[in-house]
Amino acid sequence: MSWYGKEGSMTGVVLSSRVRLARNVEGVPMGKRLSADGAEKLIEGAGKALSDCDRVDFRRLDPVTAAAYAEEHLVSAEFASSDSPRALYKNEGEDTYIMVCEEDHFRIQSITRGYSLAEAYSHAAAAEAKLAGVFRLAFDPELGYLTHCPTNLGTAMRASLMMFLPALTRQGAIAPLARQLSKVGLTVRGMYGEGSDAAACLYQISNQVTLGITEEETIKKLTRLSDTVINEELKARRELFEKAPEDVADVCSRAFGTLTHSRVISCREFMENWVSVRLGVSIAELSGKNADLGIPETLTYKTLDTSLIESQPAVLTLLSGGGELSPRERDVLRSSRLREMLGA
Amino acid sequence: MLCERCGKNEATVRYSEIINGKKRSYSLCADCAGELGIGTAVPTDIFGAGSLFSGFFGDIFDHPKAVAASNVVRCPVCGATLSDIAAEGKVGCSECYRTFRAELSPTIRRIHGGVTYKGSQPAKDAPEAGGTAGKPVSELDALRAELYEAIKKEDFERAAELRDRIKALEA
Repeated sequence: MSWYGKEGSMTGVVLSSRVRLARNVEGVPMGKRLSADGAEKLIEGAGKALSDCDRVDFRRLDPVTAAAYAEEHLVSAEFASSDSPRALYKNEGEDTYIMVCEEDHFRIQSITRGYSLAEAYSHAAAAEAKLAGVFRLAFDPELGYLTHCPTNLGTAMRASLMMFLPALTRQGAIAPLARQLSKVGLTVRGMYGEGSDAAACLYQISNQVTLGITEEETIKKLTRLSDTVINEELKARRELFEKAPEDVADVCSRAFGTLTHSRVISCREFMENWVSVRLGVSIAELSGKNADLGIPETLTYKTLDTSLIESQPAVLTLLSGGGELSPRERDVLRSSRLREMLGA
Repeated sequence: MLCERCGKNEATVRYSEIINGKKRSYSLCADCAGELGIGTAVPTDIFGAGSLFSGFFGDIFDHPKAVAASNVVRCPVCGATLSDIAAEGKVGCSECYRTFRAELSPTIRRIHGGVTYKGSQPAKDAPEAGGTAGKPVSELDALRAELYEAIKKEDFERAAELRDRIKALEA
């Protein structure tokens, strides 16, 4: 089961925690200088190191399945669409994914549900230790882990949180927040859209600095600042509801109606309404279930987040059997799946 | 210092080459350097606004040695030159960071600030088995590996000694 189908802490705001480590093998060319034979050796060696993982050979994968991995946030978009030799290793618990021959020789990625950065780091570090049992990882006492791109030198770690910030988005608070956080070495990036126009109000907050700071310090700093963001978002959600309870209830009810009663729904329309429904679930939770927002109490974040991933074009196509679908066919299929999932 | 080629003019260009992992340096005057085509073959587009990576490596050739070294010194592992690295914005392999350490330093400092590494170390039991595990590619690399071990063991006396030997080899 992938991260979005699991339970986690603080999922009302934090959908997932991710830690990514970039690692390379000493003395082996990188990027376009890596030969096909060299890539093969890395893939084979990783298989020995990660004997508990399943291997997905991306060279032989059909483009829809590859794109679906990217839509699930399990591999990067570049990795999914590349045509060079590459493979993915994933563990049984489906929390750790190792891309072999991405930009770096290894991109270890651990994704955990909810707010759980330390757990994600421990999974990623465990996978790294396994790779270090087979490969001599490129490391320098002054520069840290040596990476293809010099911006990643040091811990070569990106820790990030996928955050749902609809109330702060509504307040126009994302751009100032991003500016503030960038001053202290964090980056805010809109997902499913550009900058503050993120259609799904989902943002990735991650560390920018990798040299001169330890992994633990990075995670502590990201956690400390994210705590503030989470509290601000929750405060803004409460204010939003207190200021105009009927309007909020109206928007949430209509959105739930659209998701559960449409017959043709585009990805964009789905996401806009998904935001209102997810916000509604959270407001109901914050108000001690007293608020009637027209959304059944049984609707969970797990179901909603699964619907978000499963409404994306490639995942949706795959779930319908993998045959090619026109945009219109996808919109019809999306609406019927939503009716099933959200229980109308 | 006079040019090592003509012995007449003041040497203004320092030129290094690495052949089979052995580094040799020469001091040349501008005329001789010009005749040998050293320092003139730097692709101009890396300085251009169109260069995608000029943000990272736009200043790479600010380093006095860098222009002369740009197309002549090759990384002994992957064969990348400094020009290649500047054009791509990425190194060719981990050894590039050692081969071009002095030239890459200003860029790394600009990206990360003048800080040194803090954080975890790779697991100790990294074997040489496994086929793809790299072996020391040069004496320098072996010394660096030793230095890393010495630092890990907090044998700072040995580390200082190794650092001096590395510096002498790099000079």
